[in-house]
Amino acid sequence: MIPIVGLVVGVALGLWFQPDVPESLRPYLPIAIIAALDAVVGALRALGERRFDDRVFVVSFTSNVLIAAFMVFLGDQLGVGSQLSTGVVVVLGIRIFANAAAIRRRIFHA
Amino acid sequence: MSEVDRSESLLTQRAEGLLEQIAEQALDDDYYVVRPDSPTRVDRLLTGVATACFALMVTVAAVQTQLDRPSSDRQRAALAEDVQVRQDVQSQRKATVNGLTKEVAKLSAEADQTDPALAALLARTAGSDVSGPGLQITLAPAANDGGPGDVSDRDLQTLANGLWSMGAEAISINGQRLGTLSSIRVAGQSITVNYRSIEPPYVIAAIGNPDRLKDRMNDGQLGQYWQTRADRTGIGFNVKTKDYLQLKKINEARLKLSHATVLEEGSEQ
Repeated sequence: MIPIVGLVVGVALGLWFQPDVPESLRPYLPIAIIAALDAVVGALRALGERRFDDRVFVVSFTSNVLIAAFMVFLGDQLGVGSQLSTGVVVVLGIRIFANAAAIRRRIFHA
Repeated sequence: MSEVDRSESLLTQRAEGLLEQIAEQALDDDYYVVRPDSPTRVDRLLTGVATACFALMVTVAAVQTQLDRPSSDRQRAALAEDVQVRQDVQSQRKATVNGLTKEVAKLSAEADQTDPALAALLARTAGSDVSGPGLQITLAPAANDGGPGDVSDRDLQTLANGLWSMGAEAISINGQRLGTLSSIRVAGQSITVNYRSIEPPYVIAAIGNPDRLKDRMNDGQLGQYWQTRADRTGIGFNVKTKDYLQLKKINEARLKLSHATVLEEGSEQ
């Protein structure tokens, strides 16, 4: 229940304030979203397997976002920002697909 | 492989490749740790906050992308408009250039053909072909020794200058027209006019009023001097009036100024 409320509140806040993302933070937003999506899909899978734990979700969510942002920052500083971003997206994408496949198997038994 | 012993087996067994390993460990291992205690309220609230953060990020990114699009469109439109304006300006200027070029061509053609002052100047400075009545003087040297029986470059110079002072409008020696940069010099055995050597007999053609030229020549000091010299040394000195003489214009190279430039308007010409 609380997560759904959080979801609604987040969307409402975003639509209400329409905050302008500072230019310096723009490269981090897409990667942070991918990382957060990874944590969320993982949480959904754990929920389906009845292993969901709030603390694990919060910690994985926070660390995913922070580490992804840090890697983009590091890549920018090293001059390989796009390559490192690609690597991060590939790894997180594989995880997202694997978790989504597990959810799909559980729901549809296929 | 059952889910329970998977975490243990992963510790001992390496996945074949890095990507497979990632796919295998897609779910955080911590979820597999069994926790006896049930989650607290704070934990649940934090979950809500994390979800809200996620939703906020997605929404903000979407809104940002939506907002950015019109501005980039505006920029592109402004740039396109800029390009269009500059192209218009360029084509306008091209048209102006074309018009001015035509005008210049037309004006210079007119000036060349119709300006009588320019035509007169060109005729006097050997810049154009001229024809008309005049005087023809033939000088045939009696000797080739540089003595009184020979004709020197100085003789030709004084004759030419004399003809100018008598009112000749155009002079040529053996077909070499005399202009402002012409020279009559001796070079080796022969005399050169405009740096072209000429051979005797020397034919000096001068366009002008033929009768007046002839009178001045015969009555003047120059004509008498030559008559006397011809009588004494046997030089052939023959003065004839001609109804029609045609003198070609001077070689282009002797017509061009290399260093002198025209003074500004209002200065002495």
